[in-house]
Amino acid sequence: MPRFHWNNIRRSLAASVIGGLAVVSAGTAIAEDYPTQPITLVVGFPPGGSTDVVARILAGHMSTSLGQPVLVENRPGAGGTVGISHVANSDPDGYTLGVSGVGASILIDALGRDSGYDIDNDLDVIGVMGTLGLVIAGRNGLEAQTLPELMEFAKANPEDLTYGSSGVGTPGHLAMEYLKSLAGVEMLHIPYKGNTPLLNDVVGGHVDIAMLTTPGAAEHVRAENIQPFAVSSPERSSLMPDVPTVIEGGFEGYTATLWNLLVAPKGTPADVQAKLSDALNGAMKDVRVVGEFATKGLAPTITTPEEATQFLVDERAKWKGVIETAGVPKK
Amino acid sequence: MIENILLGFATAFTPENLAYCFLGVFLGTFIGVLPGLGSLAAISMLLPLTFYLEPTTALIMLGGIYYGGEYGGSIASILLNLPGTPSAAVTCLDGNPMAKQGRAGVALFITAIASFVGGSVGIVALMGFGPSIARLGLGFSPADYFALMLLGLVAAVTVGGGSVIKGLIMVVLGLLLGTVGTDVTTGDFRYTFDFLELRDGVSLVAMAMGVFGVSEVISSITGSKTRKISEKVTARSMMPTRQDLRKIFGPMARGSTIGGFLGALPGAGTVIAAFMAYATEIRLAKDKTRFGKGAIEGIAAPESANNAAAQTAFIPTLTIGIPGSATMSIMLGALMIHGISPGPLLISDHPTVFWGLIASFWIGNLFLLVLNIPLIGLWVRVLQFPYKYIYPVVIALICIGVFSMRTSVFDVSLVVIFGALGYLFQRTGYSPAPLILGFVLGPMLEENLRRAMLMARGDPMRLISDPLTGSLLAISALMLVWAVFGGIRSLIAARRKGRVFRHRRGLRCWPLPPG
Repeated sequence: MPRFHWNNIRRSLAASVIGGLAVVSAGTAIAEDYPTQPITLVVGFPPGGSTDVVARILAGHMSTSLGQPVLVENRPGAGGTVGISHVANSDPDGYTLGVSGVGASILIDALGRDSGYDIDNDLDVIGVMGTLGLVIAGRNGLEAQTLPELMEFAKANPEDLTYGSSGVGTPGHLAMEYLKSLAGVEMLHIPYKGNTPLLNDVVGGHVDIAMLTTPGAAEHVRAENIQPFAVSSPERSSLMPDVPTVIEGGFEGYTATLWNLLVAPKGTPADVQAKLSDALNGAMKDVRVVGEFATKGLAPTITTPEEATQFLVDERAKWKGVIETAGVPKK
Repeated sequence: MIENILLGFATAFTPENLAYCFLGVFLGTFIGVLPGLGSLAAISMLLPLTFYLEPTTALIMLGGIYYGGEYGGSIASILLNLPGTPSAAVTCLDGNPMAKQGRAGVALFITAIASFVGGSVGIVALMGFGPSIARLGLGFSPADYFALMLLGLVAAVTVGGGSVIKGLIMVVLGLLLGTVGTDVTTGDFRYTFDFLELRDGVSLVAMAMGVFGVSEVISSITGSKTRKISEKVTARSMMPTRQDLRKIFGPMARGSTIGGFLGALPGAGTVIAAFMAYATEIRLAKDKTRFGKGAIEGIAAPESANNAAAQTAFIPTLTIGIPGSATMSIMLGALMIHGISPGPLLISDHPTVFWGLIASFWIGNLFLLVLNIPLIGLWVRVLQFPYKYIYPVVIALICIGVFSMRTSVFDVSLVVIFGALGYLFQRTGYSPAPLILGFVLGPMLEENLRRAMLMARGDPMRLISDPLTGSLLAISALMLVWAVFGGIRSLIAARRKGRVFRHRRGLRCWPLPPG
C-alpha cells in the first residue's frame, strides 16, 4: 500500500502503475514471434470521439493482419497527454501503443505547457494515422458569402465578429489566429470546452464563426444550419466538395489539418516497428478502411516510420511558426 | 405522425430488437445498481460489440442501458445509502431513511412507478415536440444558461431557514472544488498541483462515490451499527398505501416536467434535473421538516425527473445531432461507426432509426416496470445480508467502476480522499448533497458567465437587458429577497416566542444524512 504523504502520492502512483505493467508484460517475447499477446492501443480521448473512431477502424484491420487483437484503451485527460504519458512510461515491447494527435504531439509542448513527456526522446513514431480537415463556418444570417467577403467585413468592423474554438491552444484556435494575422483583422475569440458546445452555439447563432471538423460540420452544412466559407486542408474535402480551400480564398500556403500518429515507447525494436508499420499501412490500403475514412472526412496516409518522424518535425516547424506569427501567448 | 409511430413500432417489435431492448434495460438496471459502475462505462465497453448489429438494434440496446441505468441507480441509494449513479445521490436523502424505517419495499415501488411516469413523459415530449424543443434549446445563449444555472443554485440553497449555513458552506465548497482544472476561458491550469489528471478537473463519479459510498461504509464500521432486520418481505409490505399514491401524484408531475425540460438542454443533464426537482418539492411542501426523514415526495420527484431527463436527452442528440452529455456522444459515435451521420437530417434520412428507437423506449420502460416490481422483494432481501459481506463487495465495485471511467488509478485515490472527507462531513453533520450540486453547477455557471461577458464585450447591462436572461435573473433575485425576508420574519417570530433562533432546527436547507 503506498503511503499517502502528499508529495509521495504522485511517485507511488507512478510506481504502482509501472509495477502493474511490469507484471503484465513480464513474459516479453522475442521480436521475431511478435506479437504473441494482445496489443493495447491507448487513446487519450473518450470513446466515441473522432480520435477514438480512427483508432477503432484501424485497430480492427490491424488485429487481423497481426494475428493478435489490438485493443483500444481510453485514457482520456488533459488534451490527450494523460494517455500518451502512459505510453511513454510503458515498456518498449510493442504491446503498448498510443494514438497521439496534434495537441499531444506538438501544441501543448509548443505553448510552453508540461505534458509529462518529451515526444522526441520518450516515443518512437511508427506512422501517420490519416489526416482530417477543418472548415471555417459561420452562423446563418451573416452577410458575407465567401471568405474574402468575410475578411473584408472583419477588416471594416474590427472586433465586431466573434469566433469560437474548441478550446485555448487547440488547432482550431491557432489556425484562426493565424488567419487573422495573415488577413490583418481583429475578431473576438470565444473558447469552448470541445467541439460539441461550439457547434451548438454556432448553429444557435450565438457565435458568428467557428472552425469545425469537417465530419462534425458536414450534416449541418447540408441542412443549411450553418454556412461554410472555406476548408483548411490543402485540397477540397470529400465531404463538401463545393467548399473552396482557404488557399483558393487568397491565402497562399495556408493549411491546417488534424492528424494522429501511431506512437510506441522509445526503444521499441526496429523489427517490431516494421511489423507495426506494415500492419498500419496495410490497413490504410484496405478498401473497407478507405471507404470508412471517406465517409468520415479522413484522408488515408501511407508512411514509413522515418517519413512519419519527418512529418512530425515538419508539422512542428509549421505550428511553431503559426504560434509565432499569430502571437499566441505562451505559458 | 401516426404512420411514423406505426413505423417505429413495426421496427421495434421485431424479435431481434425486442430481445436487444430487453438485454439493454436488464444490463442497465444491473449496472445502475452497482455503485460506481455507470451507464457511461457500460456503454463504452459494449460499443465495440454493436459493430455487428444493425444500427437501429445497436442504438436500442445502448439506449436501454442508458435509461435502465437511471432506474437501477436508485436501488442501492435506497437500500444502502450508496448511489449507483451520481443522479441517484438525491434519492439517498429520503430513500434510505425510508428503508431504515422498514419501508424499503414501498420506496422501491414508488421509484419504479415514478421512473416509469417520468420516462413516459420524456418520451411523449420526444415524440411530439422533439424538433421544436431542440430549436428552443438552441436559442439558449450562454447568458441564458448562466441565468438558468444561477436560478437552480438559488432555488436549492434558499429553501427554508434554519441551518441554511451548513448547506451554504457545502455548496460553496462544491463550487470551489469545481474550479479545479483547466480554465476554459484562458487555458490556465488551476489547483492542478502538477497532476496531469487534475487538468480536466476532479471526477464527479469519484467524488460522489467517495462522499456518499465510502463514507457510508466507514461510518457503519466505526459505528458498529447492528441492523435490526425484522422485516418480512410480503407483497403487502411492498405496496404503497392509497395515501402514499395520492401524495406522489403532484411531485411526479412536477418532477417529470422539470426533468423533461432540463434533459433537453444540452449540458444540463440528469444530476441537475434530480436536484432541482427535489428542491422544488421542499419549497412547495407545507411541512418542510419531513424531508430527509423519509418523505415519499423526496423520492418520487427526483426519480421521475432523472428518468424524464434521460429520455429527453435524446432530443438534441437525435434531432439536431448535438449530444448533451458524454454518454450521448458515445451514442452518436455508435451511429457514426455504422455509417449514419448524426445531424439535423437524421429523422428525414433515417426514419426507421429514429422512430424505431423511440418506440423501443416505450417498450423498454414497460420492460423496466415489469422487471422491477417482482424484483423488489429480492432487492429488499439484500438488506438481510450481513454488512461484512456487502461492504467489501461495495468497495471493490466502487474502485472498479471509478477506474473504468478513465482507466485511471489517480481517480481511485481520489475516492479514498473523498471517502475520508465524506466521513468527516457525516460526523460533523454536513450533508454531501449540496456539495455535489455546487460541484456540478459551479463550472457551468462560471463558464457560461464568462462566455456571456466576453460576448457582451464586458457590459453586464447587455445580459440584463435580454428578456429571457433578464427575467431568469429577476426570479433568482426575488427568491433571494424572499428567503432573506422570510428568514428575518421567522427570526423575529422566534424571538417573540422567547425561543432562541439557533435552536429552531425545524427548517433546514438540506436534510442531514441519517446516522
